Amino acid sequence: MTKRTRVIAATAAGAMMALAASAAMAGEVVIGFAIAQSGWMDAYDGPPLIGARMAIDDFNATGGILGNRIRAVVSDTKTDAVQGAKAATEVLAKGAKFMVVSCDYDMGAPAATIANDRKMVAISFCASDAKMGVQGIGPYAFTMNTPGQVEGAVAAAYSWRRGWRKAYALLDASIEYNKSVCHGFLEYWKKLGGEVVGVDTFMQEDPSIASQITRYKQAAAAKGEPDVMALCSYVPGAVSAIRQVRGAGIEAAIVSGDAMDGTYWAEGVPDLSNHYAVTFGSIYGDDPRPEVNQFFARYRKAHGEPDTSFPLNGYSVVQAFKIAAERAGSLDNTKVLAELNKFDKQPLLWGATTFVPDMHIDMFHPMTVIQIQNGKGSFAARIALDDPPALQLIFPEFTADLYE
Amino acid sequence: MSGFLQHVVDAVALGSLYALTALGIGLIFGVMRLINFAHGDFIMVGAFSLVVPSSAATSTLLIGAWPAPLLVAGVCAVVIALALATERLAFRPVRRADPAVLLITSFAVSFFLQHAVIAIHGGRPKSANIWPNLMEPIVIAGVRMPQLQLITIVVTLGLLAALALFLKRTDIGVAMRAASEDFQTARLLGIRANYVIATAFAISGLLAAVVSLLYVAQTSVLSFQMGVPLVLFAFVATVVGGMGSLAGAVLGGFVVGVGSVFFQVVLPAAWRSNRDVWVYALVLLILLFRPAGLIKTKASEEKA
Repeated sequence: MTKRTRVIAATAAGAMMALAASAAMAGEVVIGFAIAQSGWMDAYDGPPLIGARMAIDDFNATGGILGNRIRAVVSDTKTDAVQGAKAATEVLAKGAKFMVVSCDYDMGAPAATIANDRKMVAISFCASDAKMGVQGIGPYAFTMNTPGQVEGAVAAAYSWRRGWRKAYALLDASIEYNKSVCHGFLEYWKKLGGEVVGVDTFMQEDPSIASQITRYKQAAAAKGEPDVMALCSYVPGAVSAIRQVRGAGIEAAIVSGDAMDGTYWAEGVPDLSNHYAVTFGSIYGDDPRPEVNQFFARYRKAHGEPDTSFPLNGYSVVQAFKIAAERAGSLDNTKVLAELNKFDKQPLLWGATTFVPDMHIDMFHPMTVIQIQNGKGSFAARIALDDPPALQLIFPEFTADLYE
Repeated sequence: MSGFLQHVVDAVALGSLYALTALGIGLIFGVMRLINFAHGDFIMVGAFSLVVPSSAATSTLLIGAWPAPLLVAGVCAVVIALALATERLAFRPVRRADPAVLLITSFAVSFFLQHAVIAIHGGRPKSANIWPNLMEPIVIAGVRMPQLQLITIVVTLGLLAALALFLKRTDIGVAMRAASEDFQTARLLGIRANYVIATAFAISGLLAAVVSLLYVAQTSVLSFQMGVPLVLFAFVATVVGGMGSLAGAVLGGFVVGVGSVFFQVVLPAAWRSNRDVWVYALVLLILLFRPAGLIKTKASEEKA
């Protein structure tokens, strides 16, 4: 190509991109999803994306947001941080007005940062880290979840409610989320006056936790059999641990965070009983909220059996955009942000949600405890804490004299 | 006292698993000077062969549902076939190339196998329940031993003995030892390279299949990345034990396994999550005093 041709071609390309970026056709609002559709993160981003699409269909049937039809554009982050940033720029190039990012702080941060830099609201499907918000990304970032510490605290509250008084904590020290769940559990447990029989750690990829089981048995012999074990881990390491724990004859109840939602992982522990996970809702048709049961009945018909309750969060993200924009009377991000910051127990599908200008993660959100008995899941309890863990615990750098 | 014995059993069982994996790597290194990083993925494919290929979140047993002897034979057949295919298609064409090329090839095979499994089974880890009754403990002299731990130790010792006999008493075994020591001279003496290397891969595949069965029976985990930590520790074990020495690979495996359990037991709670740092520190210490590994071989001496 001659230089002149190249310049013309570049200008034309630039003009087309500018056109594409600015319109979104009139009467349309584009939500950009920079999330994982491949790699291991797909397991956590896929179901919420389905939930989000269901919300988009619902709202488009009644006029969309402020009369604008909602359109989703999705770009695959491939469970990679660098690709995550590229995914964000791609959805921006396709005209995204609002952004949705991955269900994990480390995976979602690059895309959320890009959105925040452009003063665009970015909401994570379900990152349980308070850093996915004002303090870690910037004023335009939110997450549709509670901190891991709150999940742990709810697990402790549930255990106390059941009359259990001796606890053992087994922490999978490989990621921060696990540590936050165990820290939250232990802090709340001690606040309630529960006894900690012992604590131990393992790593996600350990082929054997025989030593940890030996230590458990020694602690049980010395201080009494624990009623409950807080297992702060995620699939598949947690499944391996549960199999070995139950195989060793340890019958204590096991409590976990939202990473252990569902029963799809329970093949490896046949007839599992007394397992409890703190999550967002029951997928088994027995949630006390009829709208949740209806939602999953619809989900089941269209997409097969849900694995986890995470689609509720995906639905709620789109709901949040709609409600905030309608209150603001505008699609302008700054005005939408102002309305989001005023959410006070705002009813959303995943539950009543509260955001304030300096906390974009809901500390007070009611959480659902799901139980597994004989390999079958069902609703156990719904708990909202009015004394969630202190901010000092939520923002890391708080270490452990919980472990002595 | 029974507490201490308990820890010893735990340590030996974990060491056995690492020793078997290290042996698989050591065998290939011996005949080809190739560190087969795809060995972990042989283990992984063996594990996934237990279930029906499907991208569903839950798994249905395929080979895993067969009676025990057929199950074992089935998984062994799959992994040995994979190992032989890998040798023929991926490693043979680059056999005379630079060691760096061989290494990159093994990474490429590993990458390929992991992504093939993701394409077929999806990226989400699954669970497969085989032989659950092996998790039940038996108690001997106050020591609680899950039957699986006992079986792991016994199978490892059995395989080691069988392999030792094979290498000492059979023609092909002796040929393999000769090739390990000096490949060129062995070929000059009439030993067929292809045959020896293929046999090494086949045995390596068998070892990988056994590890995969023990691992899945213990943890029930099927994950496309499950082979990576095993092969990493096994590689460290072969280095510690002495590269090129099969006895060294086994010894290295036990050092790493026993060290891992030792630190898990002994470290105070706050430090326990950094257990692997201590294990690697131990490895560094050993290498400081024995840079060629615990068991020196002619191969490593020549290089020095």
